[in-house]
Amino acid sequence: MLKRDGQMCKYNVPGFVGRLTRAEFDAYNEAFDVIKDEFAALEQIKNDLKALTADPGIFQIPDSHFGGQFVETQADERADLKVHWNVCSRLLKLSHSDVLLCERMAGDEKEFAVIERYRTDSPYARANGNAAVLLSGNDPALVVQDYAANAQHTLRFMASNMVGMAQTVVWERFASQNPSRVIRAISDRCAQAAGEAQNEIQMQILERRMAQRQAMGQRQSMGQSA
Amino acid sequence: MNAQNDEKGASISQAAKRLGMDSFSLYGLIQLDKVRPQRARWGELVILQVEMDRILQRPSGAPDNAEKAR
Repeated sequence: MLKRDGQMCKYNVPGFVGRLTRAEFDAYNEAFDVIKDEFAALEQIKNDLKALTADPGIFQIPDSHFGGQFVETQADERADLKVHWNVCSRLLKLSHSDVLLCERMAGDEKEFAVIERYRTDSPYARANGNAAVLLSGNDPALVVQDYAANAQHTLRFMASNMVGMAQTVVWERFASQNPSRVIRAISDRCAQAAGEAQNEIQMQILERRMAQRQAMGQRQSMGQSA
Repeated sequence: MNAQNDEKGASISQAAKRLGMDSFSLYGLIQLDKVRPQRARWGELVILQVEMDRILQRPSGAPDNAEKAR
């Protein structure tokens, strides 16, 4: 077994190939404790995003739980003007808000939007309104897919800041113990948590595009043979 | 974008709690440039009080409801 600074390297932590000494393990646990809630949230959202990419079209089908519900957002051009949206379904359920797929008629066309609806009693909602359009378009599946890709970026951003938070603890409290391996272990774990989600989502998008191409190819060849 | 020395600022999770939203939502607002954080010494993002006041559309230095409740 390897030794470092006279201590056995015998402690395994998730997502890190090396082993930590007792001192490193203690520093790791103390730093990870600071980010554990955000890490748990990241993993939960990562799992929820998988459903969005598996079948983005399904969210267009009105969910009976949201039948008749609507949200109002501020118009881009005039803050006092409200835009009325009907809720189709919920994409994500967070602790303090819901991310919804909504629709409205814009002229002759249907417009779809991903809207975050905050709790009306939250300080943010009281100052800024309780609903905000995150993105919109006329193809609901594409809107959902784009939202999932944006959310994936947010998860990576979240993971990189979690490493910064952990570094703050480690450098302020364990600087004398050469904590670079502790930081690497936390960094690897966060990167893996966010990275896995990205890989899975990209794979699902790729598989769906290939299936769409195959279906289009089959339709074309059937048209030629007819 | 370094945080001023005289004010530590709130971490993302602390700021999210004060705003009544999830950290994930706050990270999303930062990416949309609707919230402007600062970087603390080790790279961690922090939200200064002046930015919290701007987000909540209240005069700078007005007491925080969460603090008032304590």
